[in-house]
Amino acid sequence: MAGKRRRFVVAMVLLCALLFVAAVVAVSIGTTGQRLVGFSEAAKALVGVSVSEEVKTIVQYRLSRVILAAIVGATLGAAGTTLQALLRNPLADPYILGVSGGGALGASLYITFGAPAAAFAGFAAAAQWSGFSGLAAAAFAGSLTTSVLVLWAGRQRGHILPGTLLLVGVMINAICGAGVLALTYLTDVARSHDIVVWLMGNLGTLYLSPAALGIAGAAAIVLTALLWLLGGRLNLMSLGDEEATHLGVNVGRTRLAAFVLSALITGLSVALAGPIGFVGLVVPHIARLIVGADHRLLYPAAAVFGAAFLILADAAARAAALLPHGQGELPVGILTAALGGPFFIWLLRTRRGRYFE
Amino acid sequence: MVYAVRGEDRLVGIAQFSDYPPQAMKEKPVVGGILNVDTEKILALKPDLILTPPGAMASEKLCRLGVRIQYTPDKTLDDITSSFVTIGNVVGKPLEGQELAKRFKAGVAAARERNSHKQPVRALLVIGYEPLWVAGDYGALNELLEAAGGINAAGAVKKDFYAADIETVIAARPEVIVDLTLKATDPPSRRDAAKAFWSRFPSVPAVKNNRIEFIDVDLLTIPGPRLLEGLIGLEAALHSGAKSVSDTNLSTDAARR
Repeated sequence: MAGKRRRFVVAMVLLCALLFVAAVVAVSIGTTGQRLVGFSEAAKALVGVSVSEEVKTIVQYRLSRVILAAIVGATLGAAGTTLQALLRNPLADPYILGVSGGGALGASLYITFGAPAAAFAGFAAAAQWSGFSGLAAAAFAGSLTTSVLVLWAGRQRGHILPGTLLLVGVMINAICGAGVLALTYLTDVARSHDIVVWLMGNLGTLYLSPAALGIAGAAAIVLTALLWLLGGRLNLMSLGDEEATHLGVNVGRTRLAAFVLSALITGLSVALAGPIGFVGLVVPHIARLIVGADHRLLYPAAAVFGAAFLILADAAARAAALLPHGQGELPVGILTAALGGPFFIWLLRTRRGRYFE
Repeated sequence: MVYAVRGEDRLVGIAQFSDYPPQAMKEKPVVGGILNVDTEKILALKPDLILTPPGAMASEKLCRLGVRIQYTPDKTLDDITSSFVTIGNVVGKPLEGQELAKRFKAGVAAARERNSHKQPVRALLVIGYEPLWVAGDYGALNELLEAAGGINAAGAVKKDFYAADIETVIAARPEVIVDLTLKATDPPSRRDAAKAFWSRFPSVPAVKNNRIEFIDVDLLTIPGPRLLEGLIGLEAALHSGAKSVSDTNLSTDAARR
């Protein structure tokens, strides 16, 4: 027991170190390369040594980007862990229960019709103050709506059954997908391009104010902590519904709580950065390979690793602008798939499939 | 452009989003846009000729209709000038087409001449936010910027439009930001949203000196004689108030006559 705990502490310390290194690297990398802001300028700016206004602006921007990546990465890691437990399916990702479909439909509707509507004075003022945009709000509203729909449609005689939930989620994602495709087809070229770009998942679309970041971060921390508290119950539920109930778990209520929390947290992530793929799927598996399948250990590991993973992926996405013939930064969703897949396969092979026992 | 050469009586159908001149949308049937061209409707109108810019996804579909197609390139200023002539020819108004082309060319040349002795102003041409779309170093818009005495701050990328990242924009230090995201009909509160966006990057000279200018997007992005109006607007935006008198109001002249 003591050995297991010690291993966990070591693992978490290493993960936090990784997170720190990732953040440092990410703030030193940018689309302008080392020209204006390299490691030393970034360090100076962060520590408070006076630097040119330009360096300060760029470092502030990169830092807000790193924080955003940490928020989105951590929440996707936690949500992925939850969904894989909830559905008892290693292929589940946070978007599978309708969140990505709803978010995409909300965002597409906003891009097609909503920008003019955002001219209403109150809306614009609120957006200006918070730094949140109508686009983010529309995506969040969309994903909440579909989550409620999935929850409502997925209940059978008052029980939430994983199988039904999964089917309903997939169907609703498909329906929303059809809506998104229709909007993309019917609107003008510029807007349809905007929709396609949003769908790739991008940490650079929103430019959040520090206040907005703070709110998003606080929400993410609170929701992830609540999910963590469910960890023990999720462990017991993996033994099966009946066994878990005999051991004192209120299966129905735990499922509902897990669903609601992960819907909120994933909705937030989709609103902030669009549907970034692969993070929610791969991070829980990698975390499992590091700390094992106990959810009480898995949540912190998945959150920290998810944050580090996305920070690095986003840094790579921004660095892509520095390649010869570079066309600016890439959508980070392309990189998460490119990094996550092979890394997971490598990890699996070095453990020789022990994970599946 | 067809209206500008006064060939509108030969025009039997227009593409979606063709909203200038305004009477076009009321008078002529709409046959769909680049992505959703309505081939049945086109065939029902029995045109002798289809005018379209080359390279659009719809071109293949249009080819198969069996109707003669005349391509009207519109990427660069030269393309647009020669398209005036081409359109004039095919609608039976060759003189008007050539006249239009001549005056368009003269208008741009005059602007270039006017601004050649001035220090080029570094400008960023913004087409959209979320993500940040800008004009790059290619195409009619970029050429107009240069004729107006500007130099493209986002000119590192040789595309007509692309998504720029804010860091490169900050590093490029544009002196003027020309916001081309709004139409003349949009409410002024949207300008505030744009200004609020830029206020987060105070190191940019354009932001520090409050040089964020707004020009009707249609005047500078839709190929046609109105680009000259846009050019005047650009000049004014870049040189803050150096509006020059010029008789280049081609489109309104042509429509009035």
